[in-house]
Amino acid sequence: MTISPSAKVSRERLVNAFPGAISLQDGEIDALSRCGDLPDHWGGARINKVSGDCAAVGGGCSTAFAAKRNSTGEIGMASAGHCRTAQAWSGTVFSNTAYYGEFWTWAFNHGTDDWAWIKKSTYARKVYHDPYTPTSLTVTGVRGAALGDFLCTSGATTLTVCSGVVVSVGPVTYSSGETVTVIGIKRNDNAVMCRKGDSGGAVYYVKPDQTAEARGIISGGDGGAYCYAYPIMNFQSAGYTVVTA
Amino acid sequence: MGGHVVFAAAIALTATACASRLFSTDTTSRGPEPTESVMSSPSSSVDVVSTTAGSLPVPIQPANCSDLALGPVSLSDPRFDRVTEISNRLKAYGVSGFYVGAGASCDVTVTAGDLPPDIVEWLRSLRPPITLELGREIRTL
Repeated sequence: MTISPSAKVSRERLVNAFPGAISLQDGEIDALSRCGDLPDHWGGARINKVSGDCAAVGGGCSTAFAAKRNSTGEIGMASAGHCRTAQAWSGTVFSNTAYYGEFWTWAFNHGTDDWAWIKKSTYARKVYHDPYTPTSLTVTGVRGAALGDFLCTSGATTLTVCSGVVVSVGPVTYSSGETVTVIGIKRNDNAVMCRKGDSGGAVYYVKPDQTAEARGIISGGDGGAYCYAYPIMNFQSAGYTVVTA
Repeated sequence: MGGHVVFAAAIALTATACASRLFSTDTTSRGPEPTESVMSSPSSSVDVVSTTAGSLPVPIQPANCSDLALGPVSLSDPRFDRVTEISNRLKAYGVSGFYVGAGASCDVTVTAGDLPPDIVEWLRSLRPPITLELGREIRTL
C-alpha cells in the first residue's frame, strides 16, 4: 500500500478505515509535508500568501506553535508579525494549496514585538522536527529561554536544526528599520540555523521524553550562523497561551 | 538630577556631532533620520563632552548579569541599559540592520553590516569594550 507523502494521516483514522487488514510501524504514517500542511496544522509548516506558491524556495514564512487566545478561548497558530505586515499579506494563509487560516492579530513595528496569530482552521500541539527522528514532536511545555540553553529551530526552508545555543538577548533593528526584542541563537560550529522563509518558525527545547518545550518564534538572521527569535513568553504576555495539553 | 542633565547633554552632543558627519553625505540607505530630540538638543556642557568625546557614557553593570534569564524580556530592565543605549545611538546615527545583545555577564556584542568608519571607531572606543562583528546585516527572514 502506498500512502502519499503529501498527506498527513493519523494512525487512528488509518487503522479504523481498514480494521484488521493492515499493521503500521511508527514513522510510516506521519508523512512530512511542511509545504502543503493539512489540518490539524502543525508548527514548522510553510505558509504562503498565494495558493500554490509554496515551492518557491525562500518565499513565504513558517509557523510556530498552536496557541489559545485567552480572551476568546479560540485555538490558532503563532507566527511572526512581520510576515503579515512586511510581506503585504492580505490575511488569508495557505500552505501550498491547502487553506491554513487567516492572519487575525499581529504586532510588528509596534513596541518591540514580532508575533502573529492565525485562526480559522484547526491546529495541533505538534511541530515538524525533520530531518531528525522522530520527525515530529508534541508540544508539552513552554518556558522562557535562558543563556546557554540548547535549542532547536524549525522553519520550512532550513527545516529543523538543533544544538543552537542561546548566546545573547537584546534589541535587533532590522534593515527595514523596525526594532524587536530577540534572543540570539548560534551553533558552536556556526552552521546556518535559519534562512529566508523560516520566519515565524518554532524555537524549542527537546525534553528528555522527546517532547518539545516552546521557547520562541523565529524572527530574523544574519544570513550566517546567527538566528534571532522573539521570546515565547513575550508572545504569551500579549494574551495568548501556547497549547501544551 | 543634575547628573542626568549633564549625562543627556553629553549624549546629545556626541550624537549630534556624529550625525552631522554621517548625514553630510548619502543618507538614503541608512534608515530613519535621527529623532528631532537628538538633533535639537542643547549644546552646552562642553567641558563634559571633552571628557567623553567619542565614547558612550556607560551605566555601571550590575554584578548579577551572569544570572540573566530571558523569560519575558523587558529592555527597561537595568541590566539592558547599555545595550539599549548603544542601540538607540546607532539608530540615531541612521544605522539599521544591526543587533546589540547582552551575553553572559552582560558582555555586549554588536552585529551589523558594513558600518561607516567613524561609527566603527566609536564602537571600538567604548569602555568596557564590546565585541564587534561586521559584515553581517540583520534582516527579517
